[in-house]
Amino acid sequence: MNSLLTLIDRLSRFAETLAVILIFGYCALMLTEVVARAQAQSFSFTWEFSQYAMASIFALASGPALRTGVHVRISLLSEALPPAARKGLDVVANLAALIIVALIVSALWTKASTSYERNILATSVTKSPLWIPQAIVLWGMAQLWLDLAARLMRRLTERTCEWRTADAEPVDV
Amino acid sequence: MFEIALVTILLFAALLAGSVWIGLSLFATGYILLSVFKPNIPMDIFSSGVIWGSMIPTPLLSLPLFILMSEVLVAAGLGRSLFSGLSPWLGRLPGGLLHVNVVGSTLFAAVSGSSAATTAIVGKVSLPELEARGYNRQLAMGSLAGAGTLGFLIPPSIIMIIYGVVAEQSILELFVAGIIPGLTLALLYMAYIAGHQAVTGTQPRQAPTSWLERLRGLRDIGPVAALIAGIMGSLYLGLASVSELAAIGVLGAVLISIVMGRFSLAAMVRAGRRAVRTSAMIGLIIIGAALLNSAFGFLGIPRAVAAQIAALGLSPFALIVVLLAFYALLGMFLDGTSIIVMTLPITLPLVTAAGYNPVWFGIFVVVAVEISQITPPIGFNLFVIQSQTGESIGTIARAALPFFGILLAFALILAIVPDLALWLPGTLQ
Repeated sequence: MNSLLTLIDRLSRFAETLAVILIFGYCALMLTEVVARAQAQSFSFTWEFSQYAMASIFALASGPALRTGVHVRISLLSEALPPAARKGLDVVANLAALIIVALIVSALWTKASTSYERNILATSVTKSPLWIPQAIVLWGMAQLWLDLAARLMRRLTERTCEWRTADAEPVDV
Repeated sequence: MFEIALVTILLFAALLAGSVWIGLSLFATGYILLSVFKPNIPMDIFSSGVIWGSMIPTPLLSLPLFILMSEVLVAAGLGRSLFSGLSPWLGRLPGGLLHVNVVGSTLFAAVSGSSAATTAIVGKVSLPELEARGYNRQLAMGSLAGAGTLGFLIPPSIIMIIYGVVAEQSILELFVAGIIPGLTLALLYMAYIAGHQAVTGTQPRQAPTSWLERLRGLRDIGPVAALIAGIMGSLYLGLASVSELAAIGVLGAVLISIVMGRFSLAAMVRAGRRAVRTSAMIGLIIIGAALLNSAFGFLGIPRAVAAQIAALGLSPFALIVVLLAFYALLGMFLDGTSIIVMTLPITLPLVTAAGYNPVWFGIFVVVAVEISQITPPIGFNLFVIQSQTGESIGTIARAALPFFGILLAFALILAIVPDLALWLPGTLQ
């Protein structure tokens, strides 16, 4: 099981790294647009590609956000429970989350596959094939499902669920 | 309609109490409502459109970038610079260094859109320093909890971006509208601190500071002050769109970290990792709320609630008071983003029908969300201070009580004097 969990962690970290590249990338794209506009020019793709990058960031970093305990949940009731009941409730919540994310993945699969089969293009001047950014978003949400599955395995085997020291380097404030 | 409302509340409450993640709880509630009450809708296709549409709105583009800007500045050690830069200027005022909590939060709020981040960065340095110098611990914690909420009101603000996207209002106008209320609230906090210290006489003696020390302080906060002036000036003069401004802000933050000698590739990657995770957390809530709000729309819930409220015959001011109580109550259990994306489709039409300006309502809702940050049991600023001090949530909430009162009073003042928020954006036109 350790090797499976390590593999999921690596995939999650890879997706997060791609999200980091995308956030700096679309920031650079915006800055280029500002400079270009100052010279009375403009790129037709800046806003559209930035939108795709943002959607990809939301999806690709969603699994890593789960792994590092960033996603928000209310633990008021579970904290008031004895340890065994708390574990049981957490397992149920994790299972429910797996089902919900599976619905999201299924919906995004429908979206991306339909765009691919019908060759649906963006309505902008770039006419980009929409299945490409949609497939990246699908990948991100599938990664979230994998991270949820890994979390459940960790919970059931008494391992630490959240990797809160992912940024272990001290942040100097 | 009563049946649908009851199912919605019970289902959502059960998911939240079961500690299912908020974004997923919102999505599941919307999905189940539509599946049960509108069985003819092909959910796979319908939800795919809602999910994709909610992830790509253009006005949202500034959100990840403002988060990134804040993280880059944190990695550059902004918290320590704020304390060392402000203390020579504020130490001799009535209230002394406690004002660092307020002024430091005000400054950090102007480069960060998050209330919890503002509280964390300022508090990490100020709380131990204030304790070491003998300041009243209760007032130090309370003023930090209150002042940290300025992160939402002073632009750039994550909550305002989300409000702008959901309410389809100009984010630029919202940002400008938040400036005067934010500064007024900061002054009210400072007046309370000064009054408290003057009345109780508990302010420790502060050694005189030389002008050389003050000038050194300016050197510490100068670069950030320049960045804030650049952002605020560009906002007011409309030199760039909000998203472009966020990108320029990131560039400015990177330049500041180079000037401060704290730039490294590893620090940038770390800042990027934190920024994308926070963005993803907000993104998941937005996706979930988008489906729930679509379900509300299909089922006619906003219209039904509006009709019920209209039947009560409330005056516009009474409506605002009821909404303030509603938001304060909701804020005890939910975070700001969730509150806004969930309630706005219902409350905004009510308020605009009562004659209020949607930009003004945006500022009002932000103040209401600020209140939620310091009300137990779920108050994010309280959690941040708990992690820094080890005190119980009850103790910190009691310390924050005067600032809770100031926020409540300020929300009502805002309702009585809407021009506090609307005057500055009015001068833009």
